[in-house]
Amino acid sequence: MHLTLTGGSGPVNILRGVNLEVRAGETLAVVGPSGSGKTTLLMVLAGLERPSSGSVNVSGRNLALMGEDALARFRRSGVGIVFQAFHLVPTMTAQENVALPLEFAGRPRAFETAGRWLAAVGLDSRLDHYPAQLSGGEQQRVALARAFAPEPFLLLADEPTGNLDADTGRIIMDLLFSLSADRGTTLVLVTHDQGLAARAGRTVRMCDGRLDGEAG
Amino acid sequence: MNAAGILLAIRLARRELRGGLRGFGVFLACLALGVGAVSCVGTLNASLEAGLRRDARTLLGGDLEVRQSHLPPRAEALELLADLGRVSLQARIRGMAHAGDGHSAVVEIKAVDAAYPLYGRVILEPDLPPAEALAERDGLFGAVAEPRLLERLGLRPGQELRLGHGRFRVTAMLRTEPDRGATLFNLGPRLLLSQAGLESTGLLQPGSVVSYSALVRLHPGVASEQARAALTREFPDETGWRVLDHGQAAGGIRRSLDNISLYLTLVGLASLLLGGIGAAGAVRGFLASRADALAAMKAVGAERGQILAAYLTQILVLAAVGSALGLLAGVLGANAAAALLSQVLGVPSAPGLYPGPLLSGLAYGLLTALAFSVWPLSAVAAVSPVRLFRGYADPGTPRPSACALAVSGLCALALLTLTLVNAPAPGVVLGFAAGVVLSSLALFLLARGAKALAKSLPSPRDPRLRLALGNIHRPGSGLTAVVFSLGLGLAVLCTVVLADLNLRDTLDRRMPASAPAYFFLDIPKNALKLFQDTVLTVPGVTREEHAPTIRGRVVRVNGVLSEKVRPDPDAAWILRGDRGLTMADRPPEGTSLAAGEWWPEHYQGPPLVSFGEQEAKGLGLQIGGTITVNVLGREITARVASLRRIEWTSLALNHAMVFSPGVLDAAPYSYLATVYSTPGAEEEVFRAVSTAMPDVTAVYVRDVLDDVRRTAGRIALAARAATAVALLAGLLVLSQALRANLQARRREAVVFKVLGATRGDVLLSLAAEFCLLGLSTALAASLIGALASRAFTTRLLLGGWSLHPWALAACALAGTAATLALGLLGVRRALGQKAWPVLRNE
Repeated sequence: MHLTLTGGSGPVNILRGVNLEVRAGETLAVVGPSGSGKTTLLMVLAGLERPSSGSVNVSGRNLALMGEDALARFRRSGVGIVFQAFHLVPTMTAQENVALPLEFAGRPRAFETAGRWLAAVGLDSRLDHYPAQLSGGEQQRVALARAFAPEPFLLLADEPTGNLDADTGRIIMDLLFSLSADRGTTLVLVTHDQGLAARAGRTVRMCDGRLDGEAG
Repeated sequence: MNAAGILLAIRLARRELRGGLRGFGVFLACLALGVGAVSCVGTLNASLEAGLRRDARTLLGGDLEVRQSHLPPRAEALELLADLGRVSLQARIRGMAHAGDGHSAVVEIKAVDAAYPLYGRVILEPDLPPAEALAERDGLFGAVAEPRLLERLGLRPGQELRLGHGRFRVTAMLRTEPDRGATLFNLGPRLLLSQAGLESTGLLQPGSVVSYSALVRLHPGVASEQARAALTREFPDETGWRVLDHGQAAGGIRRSLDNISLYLTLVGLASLLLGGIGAAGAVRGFLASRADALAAMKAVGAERGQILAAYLTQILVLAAVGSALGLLAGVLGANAAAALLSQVLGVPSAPGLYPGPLLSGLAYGLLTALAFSVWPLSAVAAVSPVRLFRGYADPGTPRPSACALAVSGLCALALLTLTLVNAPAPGVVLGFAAGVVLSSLALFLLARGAKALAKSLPSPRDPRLRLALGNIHRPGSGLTAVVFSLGLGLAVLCTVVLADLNLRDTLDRRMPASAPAYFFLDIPKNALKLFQDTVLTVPGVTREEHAPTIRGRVVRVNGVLSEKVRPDPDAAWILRGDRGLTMADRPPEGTSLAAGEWWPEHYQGPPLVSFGEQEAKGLGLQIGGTITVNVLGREITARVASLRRIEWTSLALNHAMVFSPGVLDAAPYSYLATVYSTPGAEEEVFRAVSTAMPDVTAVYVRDVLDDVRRTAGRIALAARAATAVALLAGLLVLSQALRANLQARRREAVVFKVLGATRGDVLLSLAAEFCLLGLSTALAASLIGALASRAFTTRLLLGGWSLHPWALAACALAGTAATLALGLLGVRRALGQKAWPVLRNE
């Protein structure tokens, strides 16, 4: 799969012939230097970027053939994303943030489910707090609950501990791995942290838009 | 979208609004101003219309009026009317009232009978019944005068005045005359007499310009249409009279109000347009600040439609709040203005809440918000969640969907349709819309041109100026937003200022320079020689002009009954009521023929008429066409032989219709004359004529012009108040446009300071940028304003136009100063701000 984006200074080949297969339930870490295309790969897996050539099949669906709204429906039904900068909606409480994908998907009892997920990440006393009233670690836990609430088959995490201190980061990663394992969720994790990568079942290294091969 | 989708949109909107209305101040203010302006105009119109309708019978003086010049309606008609209801007869004529000490004044005389008034109440001071106040006592008839007449004559109730050959005792002051209605100006104050009193003056001579009315208060169960039909049935050939019912009462007021309302509607629309632009800017600013949240929602599976629905709901709720504030302000403003109009001009009004204008105002608010918000909303809803990933920017500017563009277009169309339905003159509204489109196009081109120019100019050596120039053309420059907001606002201001100045020019400069000192009315046919001898011997009199005149009514145009003719609005007056007709052997001095030929001297053939060029055009008359007039019950059909250019504002002796000799010879006409004199001789002219010919009415032109100027001044004041609203909307929009770039400016200011720039350097750079923005926009806006005011003044007000460069320059400078002040006000905090909080949040 190739991805070329055109910027102000002309076309740039971001992904140059990536061939990757991730099995259901697998945990995969993607490592590599800055600018190697890790995050772009994650975006392609989430259906947020279309490959310039090649195809992306997730759970039997070719993302390259789906429209914008179909991709949104695909994400809310089966893909959870965790960002480095959390990206909670600042005007909504923790519970509302977690309920959001369930509401978009029209699932019944969205708030009840959100409450259960917040309890699962240890935030049952923070349901009505706004993101600004939560610490960084707590915000990322809300983001985890939001990502897992629709019970996705695929979870994509982009440097989920990048904005957190080491101790908090460890707690978050414990949570991420245990939740994925409990639910059999496929986890693709982009990280700089070799220690974190080592906790994944498999690690691949990216360099200059290509997969260098299995690492670790 | 299904019910669940709608509920979700409402839920999300409610969450967004939970934080209060912070950040929506400009949005709410802009919409409130726009909606306030249009609902104020709508409510004002409705309350005046309702006032006129409520008082229609009182204003007309009856359910039906039969009006005729020179002679009272025939006895058989009066008998018919008496069968249908209670009849009251009136006669109206102008005359000169003289006090014992030599003071004289023109008066508008109304002679009434015992049945007067049929509707409403005459209020006198002291409080007497009218019949008693006007009755004859001790050989003197009673007269009731408006206070300003007594003031002019230096009289008090109980004293005597002279009118023609008659002497009267002023028994009371006229406080309220129910059927007087509102007139924007009069030739003189009212003097109320009895019928017998008027006859005693000797003013009712053949040829006197007297207007008779038979008013009737119909018996219960008799409709005015029935009465009108009975008159037509019994007197099928009668065209000399004009029958009016209460629905046609106060036509003059209606026409005046229509003109004022049209102007206010235009200013209201301009405010709404500016409000819409401001609201759009505010929505864009708000959505830009929410871009991350929107992207996060999309990342967790929100469709573009769901985002659009949620934020559209929020904007519509806010638009409803803004519109409600505007409606409140509009209703309060309209009721205050209606009360003021009633007090100052005597226009009847019925203050209150009118659902029509309120619903229209709400629709205007919501449609404007939709038209201006759907576009930016759709663009922002297209935001890609990729922006949430580290180190990854949006690939290009998000574009609105075709559907959103279509919705915006439909809303704009709906706004135009709503305006066309409500506006008194749809043509003017279409002209306004075309003007807006052309102005927007011009401003868009200006923004593009200015950017290209800034880019192509050689870089200034001074880094601060280089930066200012760079900010004009770099991506994300505020130029386009400022050009639109300031440009349209300033263009409206320039238009109004220039239109106002040109209107004043018409009143001040052109008239007095060429105007006669006096008009003399009702000079008897056989006394012209005496009149000429009298005035021409007065030192200082430079010229005298006269023309025979008689009242007649146009009953057919090219053979078509005048009721069925659809004239242009500016020629409709020809067909309204009785008009002054004249005849001439040779073309009057200064005649300028536009088409056709003047008849040969001593012409004795079939009747010919020379018509005013504009008036003929407005009636669809051409050379060879025919016009039929009814003069004293006789119909005269004349062929149009020539068309003349008439300069009405010169106040020279002009008649729209000049007939060939012989046509009116036998009629009992009188003369109308003008006298031109050197300044200072006016008083002597007046004294000489009033001594030699006390029955002749003298109208001092300066008094009339002062009256017109006073009224025009009041109207101009109202117009300026309305303009202030548009200006305020413009300033709000400008502040919003400048605010959009404020965050970037603050960040830049901090970075510059970190890199060693002083506060003065930053200030100078920003000031130079704002000056460039303001000045280039102000120049374009001045040009647009000049063109628009020219069209407004020459097409709508039918007056002359000149540029007034100083006023235009003042507007342009004010606009530039506003940009500079608002821009610097916005960044003032950045100048004193510590660097680390800004940089740490980057």
